[in-house]
Amino acid sequence: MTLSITVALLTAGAVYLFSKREFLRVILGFVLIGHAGNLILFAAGGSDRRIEAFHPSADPSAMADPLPQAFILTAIVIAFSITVFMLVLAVTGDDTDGTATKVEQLDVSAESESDGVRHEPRRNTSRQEKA
Amino acid sequence: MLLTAILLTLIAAVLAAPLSHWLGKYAGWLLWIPLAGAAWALIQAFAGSGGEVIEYYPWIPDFFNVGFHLRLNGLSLVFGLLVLVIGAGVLFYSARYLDRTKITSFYLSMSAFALAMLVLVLANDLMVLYVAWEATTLASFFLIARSGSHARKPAVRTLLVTVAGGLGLLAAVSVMIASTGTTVITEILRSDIWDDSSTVTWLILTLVLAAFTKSAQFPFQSWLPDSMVAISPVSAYLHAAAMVKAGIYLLLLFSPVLAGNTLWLVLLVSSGLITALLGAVAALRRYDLKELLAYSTMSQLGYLVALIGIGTPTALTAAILHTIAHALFKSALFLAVGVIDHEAGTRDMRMLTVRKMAMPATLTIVILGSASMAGIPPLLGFVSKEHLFQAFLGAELPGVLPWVLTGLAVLTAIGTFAYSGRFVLGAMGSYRSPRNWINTPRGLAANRQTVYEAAPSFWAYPAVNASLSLILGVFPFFLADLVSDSATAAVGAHQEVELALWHGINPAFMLSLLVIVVGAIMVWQLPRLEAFLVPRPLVYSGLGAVEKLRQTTIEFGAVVSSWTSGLSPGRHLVWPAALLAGLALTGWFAIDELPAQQENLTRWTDWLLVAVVAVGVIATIRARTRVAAIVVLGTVGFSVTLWFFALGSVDVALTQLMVEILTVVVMVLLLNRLPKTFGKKEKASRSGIIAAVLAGIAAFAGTYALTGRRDMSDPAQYLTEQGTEVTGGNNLVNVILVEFRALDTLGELTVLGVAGVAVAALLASRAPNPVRKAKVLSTSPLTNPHHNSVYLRSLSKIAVPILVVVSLILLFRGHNEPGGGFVGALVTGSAFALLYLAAPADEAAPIRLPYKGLIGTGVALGSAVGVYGLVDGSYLTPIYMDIFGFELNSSLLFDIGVYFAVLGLILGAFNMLGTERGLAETVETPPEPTTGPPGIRKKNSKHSRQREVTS
Repeated sequence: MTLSITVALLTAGAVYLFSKREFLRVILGFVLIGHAGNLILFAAGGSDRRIEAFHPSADPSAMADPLPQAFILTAIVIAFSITVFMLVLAVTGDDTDGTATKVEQLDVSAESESDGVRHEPRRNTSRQEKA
Repeated sequence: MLLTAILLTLIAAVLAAPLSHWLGKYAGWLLWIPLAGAAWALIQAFAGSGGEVIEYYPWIPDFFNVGFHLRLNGLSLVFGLLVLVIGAGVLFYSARYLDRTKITSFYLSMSAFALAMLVLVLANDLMVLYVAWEATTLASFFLIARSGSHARKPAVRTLLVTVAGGLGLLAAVSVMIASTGTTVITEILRSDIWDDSSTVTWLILTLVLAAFTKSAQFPFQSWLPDSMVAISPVSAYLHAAAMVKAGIYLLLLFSPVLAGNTLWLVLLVSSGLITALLGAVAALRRYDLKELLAYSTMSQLGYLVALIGIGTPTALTAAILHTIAHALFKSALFLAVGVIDHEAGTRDMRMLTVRKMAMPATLTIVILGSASMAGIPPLLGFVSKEHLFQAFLGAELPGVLPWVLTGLAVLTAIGTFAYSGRFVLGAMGSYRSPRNWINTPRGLAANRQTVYEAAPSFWAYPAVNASLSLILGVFPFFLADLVSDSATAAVGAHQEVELALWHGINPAFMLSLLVIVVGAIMVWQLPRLEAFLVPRPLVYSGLGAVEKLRQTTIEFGAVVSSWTSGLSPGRHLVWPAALLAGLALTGWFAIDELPAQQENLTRWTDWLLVAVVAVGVIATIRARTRVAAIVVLGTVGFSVTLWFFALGSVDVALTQLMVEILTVVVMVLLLNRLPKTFGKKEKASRSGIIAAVLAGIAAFAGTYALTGRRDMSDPAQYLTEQGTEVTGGNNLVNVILVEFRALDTLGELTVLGVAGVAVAALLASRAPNPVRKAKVLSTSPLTNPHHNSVYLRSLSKIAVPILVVVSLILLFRGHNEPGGGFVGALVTGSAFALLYLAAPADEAAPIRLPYKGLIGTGVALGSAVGVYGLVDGSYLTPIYMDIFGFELNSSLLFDIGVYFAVLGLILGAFNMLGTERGLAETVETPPEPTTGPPGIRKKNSKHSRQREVTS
């Protein structure tokens, strides 16, 4: 019951955030639905046995199901990498989602060489600088 | 020996790139040698056998015993020699022809094509045959496409047509394998599937589709002239001598079992003769010498297809002889056009008329080749055409049909004679346009320079082929053995062919004479013929049809993509949502009664977690600023972490905890590239709320109804009871990750690596948003990043070593206790995160490890450990070792691979997303508290940056 309610809360929050315009909110929604998915996986293994799955200290009959745990563990890390990718999407490219409309007025730090990647100054700003 | 030939050709393909790099275009002067060697190997192998050489090398023994079944008989010897000898010659020729650009791609594709073609004709296994067939298609595509941007569309059109044919071959191959249970061609040819008429009908249709597309037969002929945008050596080799002959080879290969079938006969003869006539007429209308040759090739291939369709021993013999004759004269002509094009700068006969052609050798080649093409004695083309007429006359067909077919063949031959003459006149610069025509460029300011002869090494190879056309024409008995063996293979019964220049006065000779006389008159009256033909274009344009198909496909793709494209997430989510709803409805009606829920699923402490999650979710969706949203999202993450602890999963909880921390760090790094708040206050949209509530109810109902209603699954039962016994590891979750489903984990590592590379690619191609700078009072200690970071730096000095040690402990004990590669890497990552945040400037952060290398090392280590597992059974089998008394498990190495890959991703994220420091803007007065993002005055920024430097 409690797991189902948690999943419901997370899913509802995620779907609400998906309906928003800002990409960051969509990403937050993605993180929430990732949590929900992981908990559903856990629920699939059952939540009646809750002893950690370690031999030989635990009795196999009382052990939590280790199989979904392994699934979830990798799922968490994958979700992390996808989150990072989506975050980068959020800060690059065209601001078609309207989240960065006000940033254009801000100053540019053009020569960012933090990672060896050449960051071109944005077109509109360079025009301003020429003026 | 067959393998030797293939390996020699492979050597040419392997050496093509380095040799082109060192020698440039002159690589061709070395690359022809392995091909010639391979040809010699084939001859040696055949000479020492009784007409058939069989070799076998295993490839996929578990699947129908697919393998390199190789077979050399007379038929494959003829085609193999054409491929290798002409290939060697063309490579030699190319050294003179090529300019300085894209040499590597040329030699690589050409030698790879030669290899594919050789494997194709030697294959005695349908799978090998099919793979080689498609490889030739691809090589042809690349060789056309490399000619530049104007060649893109023709290349794509050629690919479309030939790939469609490849699908036909795939269908035929699949049917044959499925109905015989073997992939060996000789066994399939002996099997009884050829007695079943419906199977045979399908096989004929699919095989004919493959052969017609490859050999440019009506109605798939259009790609061949289209592909003439490729350079002359490519046209000579692929589109005259080798690749287009693959279709002919395929037809001859199956001729023993299909000859005599009515469908086979009707399809091949009708299409072949239509193509032959169509090509001959079209060639009479072309001004581009190379295009003329392309239509001529089409026409000659039509002859071959029609002959194979007739299927009598005489016809098949004639087809083989004409294949040889055609390959010799057509490659010589294409290469000669290449010489003219190279020296004159044009191959348009209208442009060449104003030039003086001082090219005795090249023009001799042109005349010899054209004479063979026209069927003038004593050239080989005359001998083969004589056999051709004999075959048409002797066709085993009812009524007047043989005479009708012969008539069409004679008509084509007359056209051939006429366009051959036209070609010679055009190449000599003696083209005469019809009277009163003003659309010829004669009046234009054309280049009038004399065209001088090229270097002997340039025209040497085409001269060899032209001379062979003459020598073998005078002494055709040199070819008798080869053609006999080949015909034996194509007919399926022993054949003894006698070849001679003079057969006496017989109907075939009379027809040849007729062709020569009428053809000569037509050459004489060429301008009138042209005035008649040129204004009458054909109604049917194959090229237009292919182009239309291509366009329609692309437009249809756009329509399909328009269904799924769009920026609104709702548009994408509605489909899975609808699908899920449908599934739920089905379940509702299909499932009568759910099993009883297990007891003890819920503890009272769970409700506390529910409450925290509820608060976190509500706060996240209500947050006004981005910082706040991220912070409260963290609370959700931590409560989910607690959930995992409560459910009895230490490893998952630890992982979740670390990921939560790192997610927040990455988000914070990116935060100052985004505005502070979520734009203008959006009214909570009603549809969003409704969707959210519905989704929540559905998620609840689904989870509640479908989980916690059964005992542990069988695999889980096995793992909990015997997992430790089998693997020696006490931590069952880790044991599953690195041993039981290690392949899955390896796949996930690859996903991590791809995500890291994708982030790098994204940042390289699209500039990130500018960084939003903070406004700081000039007197504030915050302006100095060194002072600013004292606290974190002090902390990191103590914390980082501890974190690193802890992470290593976690990594190495993971097999038995909580920990493992994932958690270990995440803890190390958090140590680096601390170092990064504590560094006074981005450049000073000591985290500049090669993250791509780390990811690569991780995935490579994981894969290598997997290969090591092959020692003991299968990929990724864990191996136990005893080194100096320490028990070492290869799964630990695998876990170290996991560690590297995850760490690489985290470091990559920091390295790439890190922002430059020291750009805080100092202001004299405290900034006004505003809710919007701080607007910064442009004029001041430069000034203030200078001051920052001085302070």
